[in-house]
Amino acid sequence: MNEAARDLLKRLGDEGPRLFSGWNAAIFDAYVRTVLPAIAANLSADDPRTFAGIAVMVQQGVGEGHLRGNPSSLPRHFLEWCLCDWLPAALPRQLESERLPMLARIWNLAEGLLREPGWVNAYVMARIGELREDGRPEEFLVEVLRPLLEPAPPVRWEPPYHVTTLSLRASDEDFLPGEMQLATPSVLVVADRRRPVRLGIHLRPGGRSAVLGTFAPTDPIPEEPSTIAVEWADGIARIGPEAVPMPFLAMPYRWSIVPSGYVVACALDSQKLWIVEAAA
Amino acid sequence: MDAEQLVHSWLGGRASIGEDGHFRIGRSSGDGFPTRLRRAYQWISSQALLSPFAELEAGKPRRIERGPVRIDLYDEPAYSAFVLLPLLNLVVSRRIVFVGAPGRGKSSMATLMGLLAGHSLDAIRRAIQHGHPQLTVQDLLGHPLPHDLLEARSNREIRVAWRDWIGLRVKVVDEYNRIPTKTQSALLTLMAEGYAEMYEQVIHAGTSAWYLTANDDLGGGTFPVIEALKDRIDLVVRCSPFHSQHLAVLADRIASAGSAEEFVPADLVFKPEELDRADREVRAVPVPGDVLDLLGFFLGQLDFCRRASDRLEFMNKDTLHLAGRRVGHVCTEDCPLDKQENLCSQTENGASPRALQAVIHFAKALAYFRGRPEVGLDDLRQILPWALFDRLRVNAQGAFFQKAENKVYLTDRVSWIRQLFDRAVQQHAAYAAARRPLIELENKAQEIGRLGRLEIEGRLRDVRAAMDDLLQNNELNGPVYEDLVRLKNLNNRYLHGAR
Repeated sequence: MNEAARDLLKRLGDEGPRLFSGWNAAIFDAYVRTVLPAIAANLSADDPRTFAGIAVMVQQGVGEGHLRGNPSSLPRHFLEWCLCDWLPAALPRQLESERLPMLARIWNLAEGLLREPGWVNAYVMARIGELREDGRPEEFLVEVLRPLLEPAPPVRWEPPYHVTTLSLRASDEDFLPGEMQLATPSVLVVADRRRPVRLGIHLRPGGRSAVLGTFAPTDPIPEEPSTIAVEWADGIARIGPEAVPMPFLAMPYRWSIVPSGYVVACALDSQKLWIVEAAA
Repeated sequence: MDAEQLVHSWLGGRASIGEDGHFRIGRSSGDGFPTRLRRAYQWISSQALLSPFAELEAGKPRRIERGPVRIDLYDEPAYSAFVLLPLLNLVVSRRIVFVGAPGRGKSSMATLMGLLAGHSLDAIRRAIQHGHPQLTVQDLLGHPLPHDLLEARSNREIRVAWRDWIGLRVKVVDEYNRIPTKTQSALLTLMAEGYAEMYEQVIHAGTSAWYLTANDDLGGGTFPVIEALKDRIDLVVRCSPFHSQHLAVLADRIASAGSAEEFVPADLVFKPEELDRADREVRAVPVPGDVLDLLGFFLGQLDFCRRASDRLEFMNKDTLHLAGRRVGHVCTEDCPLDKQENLCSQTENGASPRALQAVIHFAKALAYFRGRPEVGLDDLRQILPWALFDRLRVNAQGAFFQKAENKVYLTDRVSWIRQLFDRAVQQHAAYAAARRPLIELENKAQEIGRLGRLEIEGRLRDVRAAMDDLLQNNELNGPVYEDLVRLKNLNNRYLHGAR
């Protein structure tokens, strides 16, 4: 880093406590020691504005409490990941005139994500490795979030039905599944029976449904009347006219029909979910 | 909203490229005012003025008890009164006095409030009024222009150079109990009425949050504080004593030659319009009917004195005081009420309607700060001791205080007022059944205007029967007195309705 860059960082560090009540000098210093020199090394000396932009992002991020972890630890959200992992490699690939607008987009996307429920950020972070160095972050986010948010095409409730089980124990050792509600067309929130804990399940075809993580209370999306009737008998789910055997599930404790083509059930004595998937 | 719309909505955030071609991030507007207030609280209590105790507690207590020592641990976050109450005062723009020994941070806290309100440190330092025995009205308010004094043919022509501090939102009067009585009167007008007058010129103080300090817990000083001025003070806050856990922070300050009030972070500075809006939001916090009823039940008992008169209307402590007597003179074995149970025996006086308004306003502010949708009993319980601290006088001769376990309340006024309220809560629940007929009659009285003469006569009979019933089945104590007054008032309303 040249002297001008060092002076800038010193000024931003001195300003921090005067601007932000949540200023954390140790975190800022850690970025100054590790992340910012790496970025400076990848930028040409005649591009001080880009470096200054990143330094301001770090100052604001620390002051606003967005950057709370040591930069050498695993990134917890989009902003940390961009600053620590993506920008050092991606910035030199951009035209100089494109760099500052990209920083603005990254900051705005990161703050937008942070305003969303925690599970949205967790889901994005689970797939963050798919953002390529030459990719556009906004396009990546649209691509990743689309299956979560957009209504699934109308489903034909027809055999063959495919039954899988999903254990929730790995996500929360004491979790006992209870009430269920949809948070998005493909995200089912399952509440613990005894504790104020909720897990989000991303329902995906081909038996690829997965736990997204813990959820805060969410508003359910408006429910549409189900187009299929479901009845239960010993070890059987009768979905319309079709009898679907449910292995090791005599009678469900709670169950839910998901319009995108799933019936999800839980048992009184199990930490698993039974997920019945209609044919595509 | 689909993914494309959602991501697009994020892109319109506060980061942009300015006209000068530099990257910039605009001021955050995402956090609501209560969140910023809580941040201000955290910053002050952790970095500016260290307060070892968090005595504003709410939630369910879990008690740890060993012999005479009892410690309650509550299941909700607690706050330091010394930090939180001044902050709430900044929002509701009322009047607060810090009491405590020198060096405890009274003036520093007041200065910090000025900085939070956006005043510069220099402006605040210039504006602090330091009480001393020679402080004149002109020192306090301003001077007539000497040229005008010579040339003017009438007072109206004399212009006054008002002191700048009068126009500031945060007003600080240090050691107000050292101000001479005449100057106290000028201060009273400014504090109570919001204006000052000199040579027929008037200046208005505008919306103001007042912070006064006194170096003595009992409000003593060079001059006695006039009662009217005392009554204008809405809360009394005791400064926290030092605790050794903060010694390292003080050592750091010595090393860096820094002080608590050097600066306030920019994200904690509140604009006047933000404070005004916050006060409107505070005032809009509802107080549920049952909470208000309980507050009335509590305060009503304090003023009651069965021995003050034989007439219902005059059975209060004001009657005694106007006759030059005190509660201790009549609260004897001649009064049949149980002195341990009845709250009236513990106090020399009751609380004024002005005090009641302050309690409600600050309780709303506390609920707002805690993010509660309405005022709860917890909020009242926390505010009452500080609002009544200087207003409620102990009847130290009372039988209640002769018991060994109650003597401590003669020195610890906050705990005394809190136990008064806790007893009132218990009594309110026990008395609910006896009060039910009154509530029903008051609800029915909403329709007085629509009733005919015969119906009104019927209602009057109901009121008389309820009073008779109340007296027959209960002894005449504070709660019964309150209800009898309300029933008698109801009787009067029906009589007016009949005309």
